Amino acid sequence: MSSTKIFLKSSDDKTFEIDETAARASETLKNIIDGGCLDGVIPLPNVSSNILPKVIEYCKKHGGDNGSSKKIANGGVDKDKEILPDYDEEEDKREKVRVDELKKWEEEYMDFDQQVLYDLMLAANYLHIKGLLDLTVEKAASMIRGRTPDQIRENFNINSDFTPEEEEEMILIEDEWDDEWAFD
Amino acid sequence: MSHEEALRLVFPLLNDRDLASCMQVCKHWKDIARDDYLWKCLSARRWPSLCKRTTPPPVSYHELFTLLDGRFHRMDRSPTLSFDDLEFYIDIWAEERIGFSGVVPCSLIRVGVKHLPPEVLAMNRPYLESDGYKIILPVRPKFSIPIEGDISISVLVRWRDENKFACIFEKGKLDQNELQGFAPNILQFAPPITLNILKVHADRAFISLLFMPDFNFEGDFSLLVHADRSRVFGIALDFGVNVRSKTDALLLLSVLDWD
Repeated sequence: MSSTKIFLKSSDDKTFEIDETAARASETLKNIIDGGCLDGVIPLPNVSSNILPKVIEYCKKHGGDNGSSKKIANGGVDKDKEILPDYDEEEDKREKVRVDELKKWEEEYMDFDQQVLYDLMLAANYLHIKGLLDLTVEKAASMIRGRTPDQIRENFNINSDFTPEEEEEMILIEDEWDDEWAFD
Repeated sequence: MSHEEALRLVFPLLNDRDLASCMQVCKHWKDIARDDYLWKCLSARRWPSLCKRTTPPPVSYHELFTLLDGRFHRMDRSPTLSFDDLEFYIDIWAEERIGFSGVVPCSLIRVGVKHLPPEVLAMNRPYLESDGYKIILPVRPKFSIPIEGDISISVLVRWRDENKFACIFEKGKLDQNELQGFAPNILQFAPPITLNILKVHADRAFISLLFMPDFNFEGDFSLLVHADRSRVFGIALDFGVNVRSKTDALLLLSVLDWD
């Protein structure tokens, strides 16, 4: 089946090509396509040419295959299958391979620095690509988990704006105990 | 989507410790991470019964979480209560007859114990001197109770400025088994009776009666095994090891159900 080509224009006026089936991974693009408002090029004023190819790469992987990300979220295996009489072991194996391959792809896909992460998150949000948004949010969370405030600042390139007194206060507040025994 | 909106997507995926770290990153993060909805969710996961109360707690869920979880020892604001505002209503029954009934005013309340009266046995000192925050209420006049038999106790606290009451310990009976080894252990622990707010955490708060021998005695206290009465000179409210400061103790009291 040959697919219609869609053209997307980034905020800095660069045009990118994407298959319609891939573009449908984005709710926003899907609505534009289904709404018949397609007029040559779709302008995306909120997505720069740095980020748009990254988004297109994700859509190509997931376009027309909306189920995959869901299966990953469920741990990769659809447990209901086991109780179905026509349960196909071969199919199940193939599915596992697909899921493993997708996980590996996502790992490599998500290997970038935090500025890209934020821009990608914005693009995923703007284009309503749920799976991509989840990926970016999870990645941000993983850059926080188990880290000290210092390490988090470093990961996200943030400077602390607390005064030294406030920093001190956050470490420990311990009252002086009353040092008196009232009994006679 | 602003930075703030992005963080509001990320923060719900974090646990309490990570969220606490986020609050220390910068002021902007702190404002978002202290969102009480996040802390309500975390509190509900840790202490499900906390979020089933009919009235919202008078402190934020963040403060409540911080208080109940000993790992973070930080408070954002001082409690609205002060010890000067409080008075304790104490009733103690022995064999269902009232043994002591009185209001212990704030002026007699002392927290933390460093200088114990000489009658307190050496073996009981480690408890009274240990970490963990205790409110010690002296009982005057001291009264005697039989060692055998039922002992019940109830403690209410009144917040004078607001003229509100809260129940700290509902009338509860000492288990006879708990009385084993009572003498020569001058200090008698009641079974753990929990603060209303902390029903899920039976080991957090408990009440103790402080005993001393009912006669002037010098010499070997182990002979007291044969004493049949003992004199109560005080009551200790122990909030457990997570309550380590006056602020913590006051915050814990402030989250009682005040009526």
